[in-house]
Amino acid sequence: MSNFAATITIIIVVVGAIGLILKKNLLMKLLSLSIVNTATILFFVLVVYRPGDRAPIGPETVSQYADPLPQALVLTSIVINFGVLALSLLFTMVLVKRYHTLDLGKIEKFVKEEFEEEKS
Amino acid sequence: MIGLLAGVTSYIFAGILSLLFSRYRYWFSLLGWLGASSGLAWSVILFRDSGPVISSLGSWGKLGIDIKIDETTLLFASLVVALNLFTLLYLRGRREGTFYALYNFLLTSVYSVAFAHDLFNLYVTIEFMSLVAILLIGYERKAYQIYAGAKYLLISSLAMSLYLIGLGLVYRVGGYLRIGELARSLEGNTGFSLTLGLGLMVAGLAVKGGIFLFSMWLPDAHSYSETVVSALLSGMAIKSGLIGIIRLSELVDWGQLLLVLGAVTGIMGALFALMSDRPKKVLAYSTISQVGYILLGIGTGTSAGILAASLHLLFHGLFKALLFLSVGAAGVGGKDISGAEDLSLPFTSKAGLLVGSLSIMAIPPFNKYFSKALLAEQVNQEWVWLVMLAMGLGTAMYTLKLNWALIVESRTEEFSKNDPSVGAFTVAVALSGFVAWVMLGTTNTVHLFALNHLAVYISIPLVGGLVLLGFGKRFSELSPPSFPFKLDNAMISLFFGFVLIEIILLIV
Repeated sequence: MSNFAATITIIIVVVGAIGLILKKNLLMKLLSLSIVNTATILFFVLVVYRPGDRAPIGPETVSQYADPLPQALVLTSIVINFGVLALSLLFTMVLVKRYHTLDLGKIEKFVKEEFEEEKS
Repeated sequence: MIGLLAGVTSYIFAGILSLLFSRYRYWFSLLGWLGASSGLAWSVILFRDSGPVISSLGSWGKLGIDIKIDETTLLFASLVVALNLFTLLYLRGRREGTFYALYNFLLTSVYSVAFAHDLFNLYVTIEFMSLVAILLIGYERKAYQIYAGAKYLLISSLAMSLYLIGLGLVYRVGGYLRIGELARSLEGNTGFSLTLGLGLMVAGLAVKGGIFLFSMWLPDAHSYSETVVSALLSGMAIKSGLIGIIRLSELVDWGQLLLVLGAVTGIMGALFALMSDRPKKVLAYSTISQVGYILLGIGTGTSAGILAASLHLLFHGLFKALLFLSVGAAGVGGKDISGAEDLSLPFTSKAGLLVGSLSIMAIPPFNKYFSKALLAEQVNQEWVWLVMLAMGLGTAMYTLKLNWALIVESRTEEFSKNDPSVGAFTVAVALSGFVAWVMLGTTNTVHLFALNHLAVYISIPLVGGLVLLGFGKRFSELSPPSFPFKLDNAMISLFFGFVLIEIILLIV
């Protein structure tokens, strides 16, 4: 099971990373980033999954229950990923309002020009 | 333990209150500092009696969250408290309530990294730190700041995903998230999935910690943001990643890995600093270079080496923040130093630059001398000696270049432009070496003042100055390449660095 989990995770992370590096569009970069983030969540779910596990709440007589630690962990990381995504969308919005483009190469060029202009 | 938790609580309340009642934002922040510093003083007193403590929050056994109080914790917490005081004095009520709220939240997160002793707690606190840091980088909403923040955000979020995957792998092997128990259950285990997991975790922390190949976002973010934010980021925010690496080094013997990373980081940072010609850029690259010393200290693997690394972490935070504040108070941070005759700095900024530079060059009575000498004692491989010598030389060269332009060539501003907070910080940094010497115990460190030690440490800047006199023109024609620091290339170099880590871990 865990080999399967590792393989799936590596494939999805690589797909996301390729998108992050090769795509010039900022929104596509954010999409790729959230693919990578989702892959980590999938990884945790697959790693701790055992058939026949019960929820770790209820009467103490349940013998085989799911490990509660990764669940707490995944919940927290989902929230953090949400925050990161919201913040990066905000930043993208500011950049688009300023330069009217999503192309990162152009944005980098404009930013450099503007910085040199302001500080000289 | 309660003292440090009181510090976190008082920072959170200071942040919330200065957001709600923005009229009294400055006083709430001062109260937050008061709470944190008195809590820290209490913890230091307890620490002197009882030594290092690991205790668990909550009584859930395996699920409890560990916190640890040792020298590293206390040195880092005192760095946070000191920087808080002096940046607050520097702000003097400028800026609105939102800024103070973010400022206090940054302090909260960094302060709570200091005693996190649990893999997941480290993740949460460090991620909290970078979210707040990014908001602060883009606070003035200038386009270049937003771009620097977005770059930091994308790279660090990717890195933290890698950290989480590594955490999952380590958890599957070890069965714990608490570092103390995990170290016991991982003992003697050298499986491939453990190596992979630890490599992923180090790569994730390295992105936050300012290590070359990983932290290519750093020069832009630290030099484009405003003065106080630069000082806080360079002084303490990047240190949280390094604290994470110090904690991980309890789990595993890194061997040569951190030494190699430290050497690359130190030398490349110094090289780029030497080539750049804007004070804030020089200081940002110099931060990368100084992280090299800390990694060398952790890489020695001895507890004295880690103490030296923690001391360096504290001292670097102090003098780097002082340098940023002195440059920023004079408003010359983004100016080109090749035309320094047109710049003018007030006297306090010049004094701050001088004291900060004497510290960064490790001239004997100043603070970095102690950490560097303690570190040099722990190094027992010849190539690391040579690397440290080269790093010292590079540091001396870029510092002297900066000082020559900003202290000697530039004009002195009239008296009314002096900034008392920078003056106070200068005095504090100048005295901090002496304080550290007394705290370390004067009798067992008196050998640091042996004549051959002193001769080496004084001759390094002299040689650096001579080289600069000879080749200074050559260096000022160069400028650091910008392509490694673009977003795409920074991500490629992150993956490249990760592969490098795995190769070193598996083969050496």
